[in-house]
Amino acid sequence: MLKRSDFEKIADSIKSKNLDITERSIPFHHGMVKLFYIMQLMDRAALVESVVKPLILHCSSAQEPINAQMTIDTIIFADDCRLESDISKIEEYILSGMAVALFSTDEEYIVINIKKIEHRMIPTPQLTYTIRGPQDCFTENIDVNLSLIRYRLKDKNIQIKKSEVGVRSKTIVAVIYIEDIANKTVVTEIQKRIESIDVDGIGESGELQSFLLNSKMQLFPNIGLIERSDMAFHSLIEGKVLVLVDGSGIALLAPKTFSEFFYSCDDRYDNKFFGLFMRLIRYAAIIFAFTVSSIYVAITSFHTDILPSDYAISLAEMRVNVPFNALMGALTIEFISELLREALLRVPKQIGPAVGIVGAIVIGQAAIAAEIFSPLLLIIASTSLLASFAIPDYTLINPFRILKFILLLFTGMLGFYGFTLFLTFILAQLVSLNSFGVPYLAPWAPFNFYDFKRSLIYSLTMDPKRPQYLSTKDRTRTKR
Amino acid sequence: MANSITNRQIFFLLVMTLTTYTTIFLPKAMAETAGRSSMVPIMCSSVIFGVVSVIITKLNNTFPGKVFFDYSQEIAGRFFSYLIASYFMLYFIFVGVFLKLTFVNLMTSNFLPRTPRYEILLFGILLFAYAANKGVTNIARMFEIYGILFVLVTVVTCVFMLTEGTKFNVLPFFAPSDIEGYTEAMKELIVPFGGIEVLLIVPFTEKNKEAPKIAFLTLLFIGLFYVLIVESTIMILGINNTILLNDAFIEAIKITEAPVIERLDILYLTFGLSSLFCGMIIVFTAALEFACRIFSRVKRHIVVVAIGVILYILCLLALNIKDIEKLLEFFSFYLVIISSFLIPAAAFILAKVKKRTNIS
Amino acid sequence: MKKSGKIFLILVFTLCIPAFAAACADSKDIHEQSILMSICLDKKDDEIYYYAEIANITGSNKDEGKSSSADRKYIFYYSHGKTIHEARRKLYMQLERRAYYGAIRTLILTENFAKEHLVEYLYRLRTDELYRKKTMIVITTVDPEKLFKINNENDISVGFSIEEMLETLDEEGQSFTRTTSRMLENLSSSYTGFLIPCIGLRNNKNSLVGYSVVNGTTINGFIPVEDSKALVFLKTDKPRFFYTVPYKGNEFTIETSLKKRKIEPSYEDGNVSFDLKFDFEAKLLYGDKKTPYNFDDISNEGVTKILTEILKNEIKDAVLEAQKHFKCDYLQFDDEFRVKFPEEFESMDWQNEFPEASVNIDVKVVLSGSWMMDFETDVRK
Repeated sequence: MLKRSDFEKIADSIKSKNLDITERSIPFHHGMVKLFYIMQLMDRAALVESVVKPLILHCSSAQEPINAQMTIDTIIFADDCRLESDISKIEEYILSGMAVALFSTDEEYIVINIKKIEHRMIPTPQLTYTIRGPQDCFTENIDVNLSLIRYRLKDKNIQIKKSEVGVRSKTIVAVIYIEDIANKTVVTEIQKRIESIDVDGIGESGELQSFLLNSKMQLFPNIGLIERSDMAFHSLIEGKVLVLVDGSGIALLAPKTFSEFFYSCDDRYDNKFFGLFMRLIRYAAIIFAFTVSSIYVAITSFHTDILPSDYAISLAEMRVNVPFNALMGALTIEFISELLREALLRVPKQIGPAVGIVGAIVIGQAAIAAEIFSPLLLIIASTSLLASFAIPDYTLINPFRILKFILLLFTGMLGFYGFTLFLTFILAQLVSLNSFGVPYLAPWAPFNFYDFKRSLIYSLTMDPKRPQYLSTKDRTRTKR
Repeated sequence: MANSITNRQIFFLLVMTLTTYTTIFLPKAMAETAGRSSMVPIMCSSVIFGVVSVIITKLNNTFPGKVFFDYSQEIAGRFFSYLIASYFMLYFIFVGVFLKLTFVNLMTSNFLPRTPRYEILLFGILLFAYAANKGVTNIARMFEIYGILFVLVTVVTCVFMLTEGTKFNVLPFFAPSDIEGYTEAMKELIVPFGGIEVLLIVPFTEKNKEAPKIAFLTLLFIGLFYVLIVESTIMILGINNTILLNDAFIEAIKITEAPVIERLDILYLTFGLSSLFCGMIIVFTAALEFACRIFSRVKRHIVVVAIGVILYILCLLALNIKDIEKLLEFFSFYLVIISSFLIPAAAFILAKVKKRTNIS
Repeated sequence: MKKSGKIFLILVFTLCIPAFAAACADSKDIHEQSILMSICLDKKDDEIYYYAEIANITGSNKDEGKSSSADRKYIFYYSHGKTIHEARRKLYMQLERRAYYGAIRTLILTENFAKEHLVEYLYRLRTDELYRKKTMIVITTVDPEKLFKINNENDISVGFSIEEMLETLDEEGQSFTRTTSRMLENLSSSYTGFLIPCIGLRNNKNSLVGYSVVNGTTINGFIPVEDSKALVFLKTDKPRFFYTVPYKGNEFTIETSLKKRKIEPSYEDGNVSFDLKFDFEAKLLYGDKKTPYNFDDISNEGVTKILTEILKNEIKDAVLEAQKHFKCDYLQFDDEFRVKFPEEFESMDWQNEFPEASVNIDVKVVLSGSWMMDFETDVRK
């Protein structure tokens, strides 16, 4: 039994810390129950109806003292409550949004979950827009996100392992996978990395992602981002591991190989040949976005012989009054493209169209009229910018946006030799990466015909097996 | 397993190692010796070297999970193992210098006539060192990607050449007067088929049981590939022009035109460059692997830097020596025979003898 | 990052920066170069004249009516010197920008130049990295200055115009071209003989006027284009010509194309002989009198016989001209003989053997109406 002096001491210590904790005291026969909670995190109507009102009604008429067990069993109506006895954790529970009921006559106390945190309605996709697929996306509330996954996946083998990350933030991180499909090594590795995080706070999944990378200096992403619940479902059922972070509307997915960044759910929902066509377009888009400016520089400044004579003359005529050489022009226009891209992200919606007009007319038309750039260079830069938006997962294009400038420099200095040199550097880097043990360039290197075919043209009826490079426990998706 | 490769990767490893520079210089060598009947000595050589590749792969299969340095200690003892490893390290450094000089000259004559050679060398060596540091497995993956592109582009280019060429340049396919040149031709083919010894740095696993068959078929494929290149070059240029031009294949591609892109050689050289890089990367890697095993206490990246610096200095010195390529080519002939034939064959025989001794 | 790694990266960057700075040596934008479209070489008074046609990229947007050279699309420059190098060097001194040879379409040589320097210039083409390797070579009978002036006044590029004309004629089966590499191969072989297209001016327009015969290393003859039909039949894959055949008061126009050509060499008792077999496909197009022609089988046979004779005589004359008049195997029968008898060819002197070779010509013509027209029937009255 808790001594009254200890009970008062605990209550005073909680109040004295200026944590904006509300106290509600309810006396009963020769005792007191004190309710501690943070108003902003509470469903106040539920608190009153399920906890305060029943307690008052009982305490006012009870002839005997009450204790925590009795209260849980017979008095309060909360669905999620439990008994605890560790006094040191009281503040932690209160700060995490629980209501704590302390009894002067009992060492044990009750932790009641009637949290109500303000969050958005389930939004439509912003990053991975789809024409045909479902439109529900994750929000910042982990419970909402879990509900979205659970209603799609009713497998009894689904595992949701929650942990807290961040000494101060105590952010809830949930690792989700299907026990009899996912590769145990991958799951263990992810959990190990999460457990080893030693930081004061994690605000968003992006911060967690940086702890999950293979190396601090890694440029290429080896973890995917999931915004939509149907994509989460597909990934889990393929044997991948999903990581949800409370407070973030973007989930993390591992392992993720280079080719998987080009997959879109529309490929599954639409005709498989159209899916093949679109994947080929995306592969071509990234090659185009990354290399076309450099090829332009190489051809204009070093290897004009590759062009037929009439093209060479038209190219020369276009560039005759342009003051910059091809390299400087390409670097400048790429820089302006990046500026435009960044400005469009930050600009308020009201003046967004105006920025678009400025970009198109001022930079485009006026630059040509002033003969600062040649028209061909402008076409190349704008098509390259457009092509970079064709990749479904935008995190893949980010490293290429940086490397594009270095590739331009190499090509501008050494022509096709520099171009091929730098591409080989990048390839050497890509082949050596892995995503939680899975080779990053699978299924191209090491080559696997089934997975390669699957990476181009996919249909559940044609490809009943899971990707072999994932080494999942259950290899097939259908009984066929 | 770390540093293991698949059978498909063995194919591309061999293709990219053997065909890199040979494609450019082989047509001249064949035109000079075997004339229009180059098919015969090329295919004969590919069969012979196919047998060599079977010996090396069977040797690796006898000691799964180990590279040559490791199992040679079991076969020949520690001292000889270190001696042979030192020989191979120096051999691959020598080959590296030879290839880099050829590469620099090719770049200077075709791509960058005014760029200083030391610069072409510097950036090249940085790349090779970086890639070599990644290890054999990653390099094999890179070869898988580059290999398919290189083979495709070369075959398509050769098909264009065959359609544009003149049939009289290659006819007759077999002339009795060319027979006396076959021996000379096969001697010329020793260096182009050299490079199979890079398999000595790759540890084989159970997955590589079929490696001897794959290696033999790869060598046959390479023979056919060489035939295609030689015949298409002669078809475009003619036998006499091919004899007169050092980089006959490149010159032949310059004459071939495709729709839209007038000069195919730039397109080919971009992919061909990647294959040249592959050849030098694997040579660097081979030297590195042997050096790391000899100097096992030194960290890997320090060995990489050391080999890079040594190669760079040697290449810079060699650039100033007159007719250095001829000198290096002369020595290459004997070194390839020792490295590809004699040492693996001796090791194979010793391994078999030891195995029988152990059994009995 | 470990200290050694940091030091290594610093070293690498330190090395790369000056390397980068020295790297742009080969960078030169296309508009900073003078784009040459064609080159012409002449020899007058013991001096080599070097003409270059350059695309005028600054003045190409001209108004109608302006005629100053600064506004023309193509401008020609020329210089002269004792040797080709000297002439070229003097040309460079006139150019504002570095010369770019990668766009050259045609190399034009005058007869005077070709007689003495043809071989030298072909070898220069082979070794010079700057040239486009598939450049066409032609001989001209016109003074180069006149050729360039007339063309450039009409904003026509001589290089483009000649190349496109010859390619079109080749595609239409009216002429043949020979690549520079084939010429070089010939030069390097034990026997050399080939034809080079000859360009002149007709009504102030570029025109193919004939073929110059190269025997050994020099030009020793000219074949006018009017007499070259048989040559085209002997050297091109799909030649096609129109013939007018007189028959029973009617002049029938017949389209004749070569379906198959076979040249069979044989070698017996030290004698070289060739059996030439030609299969022609002929289509009766129309006559010059009113229909009906009642073109029955007998008429067909008659016309076919006449056409066969015409073709046979033309081919025979062409072969005889090569053998007896020029004594030069520009018909490339040496290739056919070498393929079948390689050892014998190596031991013989083809220069002497070819004029003495016996040639048997067999021509077959299959005449049919074009599928649209039926000349056998009567028309309705």
